[in-house]
Amino acid sequence: MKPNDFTEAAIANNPAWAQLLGLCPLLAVSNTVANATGLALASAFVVIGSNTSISLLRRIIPDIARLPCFVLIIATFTTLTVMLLEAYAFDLYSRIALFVQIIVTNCMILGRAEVFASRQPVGRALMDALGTAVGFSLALLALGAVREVLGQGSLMADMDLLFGPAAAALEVKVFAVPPLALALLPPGAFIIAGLLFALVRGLGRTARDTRAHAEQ
Amino acid sequence: MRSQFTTIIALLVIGGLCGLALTQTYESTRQPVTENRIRQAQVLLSELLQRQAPTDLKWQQGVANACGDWQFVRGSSPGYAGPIAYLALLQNQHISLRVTRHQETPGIADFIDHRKDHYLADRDNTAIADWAQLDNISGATITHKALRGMAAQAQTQLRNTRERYPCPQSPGEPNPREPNNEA
Repeated sequence: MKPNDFTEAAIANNPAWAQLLGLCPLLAVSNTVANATGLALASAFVVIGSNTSISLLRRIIPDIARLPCFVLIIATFTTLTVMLLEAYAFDLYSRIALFVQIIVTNCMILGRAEVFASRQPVGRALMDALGTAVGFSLALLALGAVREVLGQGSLMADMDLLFGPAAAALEVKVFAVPPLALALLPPGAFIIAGLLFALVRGLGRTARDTRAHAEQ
Repeated sequence: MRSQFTTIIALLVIGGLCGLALTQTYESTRQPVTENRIRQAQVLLSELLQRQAPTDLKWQQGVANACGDWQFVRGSSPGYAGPIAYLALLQNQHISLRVTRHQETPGIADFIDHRKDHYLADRDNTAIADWAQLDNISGATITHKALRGMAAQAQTQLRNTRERYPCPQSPGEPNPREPNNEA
């Protein structure tokens, strides 16, 4: 088990801002922090479960049928997530069900299965899955927070749908009137995601330049 | 030959494990899922009726309370991407409608989802004669056509149910043909 598998997957090879994978659910469900958290938890469950299972089964998965096997395992974990959400977080499920169901087609998860989990022992596959889940969650939550503040004027509204009535107190009212309603709409999602990804890449480049300068 | 046999065995093992996980989870979540669906349906019925809906409604051919002052009708109409399931409240030749399930294009057909848009709620209690005259929605022609057809379809369904299960002549008189309870 190597800790740098985690940081590699979460930061350097972040599925969203470094590889631009899984953008469909990322843009569609990140209109509030509550929705983003729901999808982040669902995606984390699927990527961790499928990566671990694929790594455990890697010696018996036939090479000629590996992709159908990966899809079967990912689809199983996605269906389990749907059932659990529908049973225990029904209100949230009603809002994000469509995008939870299409986790099965998320190329981020299939990509990690093919490139990493199917070739590595369970410990490393687990660290990679944790890193991928954390990286995707960071991108989702950052985008969700910015869009909710700009488009709705609040932060962490409706968290009670996920964590029970006590979590309703987490809501913070930032603006009385939302400053940019466009942020909640699909074009707003594209624009804000583009700006956030550019910011993260810019910060990464600056950090690399500073390191290189210090080494000289 | 041997490698093919091994492949088949491996696929069976993987498929079996996946199936086992799914059936076990289905069994353990069936009860709360059913309760959630009933609760959601009850909330929707009460919202349409604008008061607490009876919990012991008997559904006959997709129609509830066929002989009462108001009727609930559930059915489906073909949309752009598959059937659009709906629940309608018919009351004195007026209709209130909610879409309960659909696969229409997200974003374009969001107006039929009462959780995302007020379009249907704003048209509650519309005269059935006026329902077919609703203005078309640009970009969602087929979805809107399905929506407009739902009022006539609900009326036909109610008429058919009443023909099959005639209402008692006076209160308290038993039904001539006792219906099967579909609920």
